[in-house]
Parts: sequence; C-alpha cells; structure tokens
Amino acid sequence: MDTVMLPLLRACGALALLCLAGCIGVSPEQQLQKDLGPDTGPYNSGPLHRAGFPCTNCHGDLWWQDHPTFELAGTVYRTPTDEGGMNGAEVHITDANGQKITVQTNQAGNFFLVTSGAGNLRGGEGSATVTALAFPLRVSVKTGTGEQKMRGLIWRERSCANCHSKQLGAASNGRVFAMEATP
Amino acid sequence: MSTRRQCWHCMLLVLLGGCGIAAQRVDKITPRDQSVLETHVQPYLDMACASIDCHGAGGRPLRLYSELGLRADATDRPQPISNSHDPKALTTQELASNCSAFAAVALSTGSPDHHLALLKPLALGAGGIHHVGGVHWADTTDPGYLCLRGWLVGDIKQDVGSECAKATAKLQQ
Repeated sequence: MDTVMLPLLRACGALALLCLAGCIGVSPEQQLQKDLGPDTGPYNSGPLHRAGFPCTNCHGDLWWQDHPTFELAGTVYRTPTDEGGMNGAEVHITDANGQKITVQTNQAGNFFLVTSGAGNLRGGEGSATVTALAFPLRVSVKTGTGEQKMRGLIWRERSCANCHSKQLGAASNGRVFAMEATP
Repeated sequence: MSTRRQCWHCMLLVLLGGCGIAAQRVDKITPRDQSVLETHVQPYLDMACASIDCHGAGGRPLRLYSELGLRADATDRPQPISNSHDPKALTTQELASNCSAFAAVALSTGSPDHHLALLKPLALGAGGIHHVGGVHWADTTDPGYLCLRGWLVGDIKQDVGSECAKATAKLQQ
C-alpha cells in the first residue's frame, strides 16, 4: 500500500506547491521592471544602458539592486524628436537646501547622481556625487547654444522618464530636451 | 468746534466706515469660486501641488489638472512647453474638475479649517496631518495656506489674490 500511496502523496504535494507559487505571483517592483521591456540600445549594462528609461525603477529604493541607489537620473535629448540621447549636455540642479549640482550627460545622453556616503560604485561618465537631495528641485539643461529651463518644480520623482515619457501627451511634456525642434 | 458740528463729523465718519465695510462684503468670493481659482489659485497649484509626480498623477487623491502637468486631453498640449512655447490655458472643464476635486476632500466637521487640502500640507506642530508630499506650510500664516484657505472658505477677493501672488512668487524664484 505504502509503495503506491507514497509517490501519489509526493505528486500531490508537488502540485500543491506549484499552485501556491502561482498564487504568489510577481511583486509590484518586479512588475515595474517587467514593464520596462527590453533595452533597445546597444549596451547591456553600465552608465550607457537603457537610455530614456526610468532609471530609478531599478536603481531606486523600490527595486534596490545594488549600492548606491540614484538620487536623480535621466536622459537628455538634443531636440524633442531626437531618437538618441545627447552627449555633453549640462544638467543644472538646485535643491531646496540650495545645493547646486552640474552634471554632464554621457554619450548615451544619460546622467545620474549618487550620494557620496554610499561609495561611488556606480560612478563613471555622466555621474556626479552629491549629498542627499532636498526636494523640490529646480532644473535646467544647457548646451553650448542655449538653455531650457523647466518651468515647474520636481517635488518627489527621481527618474526624469517617469514624467517625461517619449510620447508628448496629456500626462507628459515629452522627452527632456536641450534645444527647440527646428521647424 | 461746536458740539453740533462734532456730531455731524462723527455721523459722517460712521457712514463712510459703513460704506467701506459694504464694499468689502461685496468683494467677498463664494467658496471655491471658479474664476478666482483660474486667476489667483491655479498658478500656485501649478507650482506647489499639481506636478505630474504629485497631484498631477492619475489615480492620486485630489488629482489636479494644470498647465504644466496633467491635461484632460492630449490635444491640450499640442507641442512641448519650452522657452518659446507657452502652455495652453486650462479649459473650463479642467478648472471645474479641479474645483470638484477640492470639494471631494472636504471634511464634514463643520469647521472650514478641517479640510484635507489645508491639513495635509501643514506642519504637524501647527495642527497638520501626515502628507506623503511633505510639509509645505510651517504654520497658518504661510501665504500658500492663506491663499488656499481664502479660496476654500470664500474670503475677501483682494486678500486671496495677494496671498496667492506671494505664495506663487516664492516658488517661482
């Protein structure tokens, strides 16, 4: 009897575990990462990857992958309609405590700020080390030929792309750009 | 000066004073007046509350439309706001929706100061309650508090306008 029942019980147990695993599903953080979809750029990792994506969906407090999380990060484009990011644009940030930061975008157009206390393991081109940012933030983007100043304030968001999605629309002013589109 | 003349002067002063009070009463707005929202309060909300990352986010309690943030329709933002392109003004429907949003977070305690929109941005020490978006007003003398309260309870129009202008200028610096 035992020789028949034992394998059956084991099979039932395995089935029950599979069902439970199905119930657990994915966490909201995992879902956020899934929603990003594949990186369309040529870089798998490092400061140049996932240009135009909301950086802190992965490099933030919600989905903490590695030290340090980003204080603020994003991608700058030359014009609103450009497909690739702009190298060498200056991003100027002033926080509520008067901390002034200037960071230059890397060749993918990415920039990111990390805190000095966390150890700059994620440093590199496009990064700057700062003390923890106090919100709200005032931001402008400068190039050799001009400056675009964000008219509103950033009150809590740490990823530019979470508000500045690619598509201009009711909930977005489109991508962060340094120059007006040429007519 | 004779006593009779002094009496006349007193009466004249009382009458003039009455006229002043009457003028102020006429200038009092109705609570959540839409035109006052548009002219005075909305510019402050644009800077302080209605950004896309706060109350301009869909699904957020007290969801607000604003020129720089969320629009009701994509056609309200035909091109990116930039140095040379100003945003389109809010539509009547968007303003009406903002008025309704504030009405929806009023507390039915009878006191006009017990309104979530007044309590949440206020510091805990000044009688406020927890706000994920942080403390905006240290106390009830902050121009932002007076701007919003004046509009919500129906204060003197001139005072509301002046407090809103001060509060907005502070954020635009």
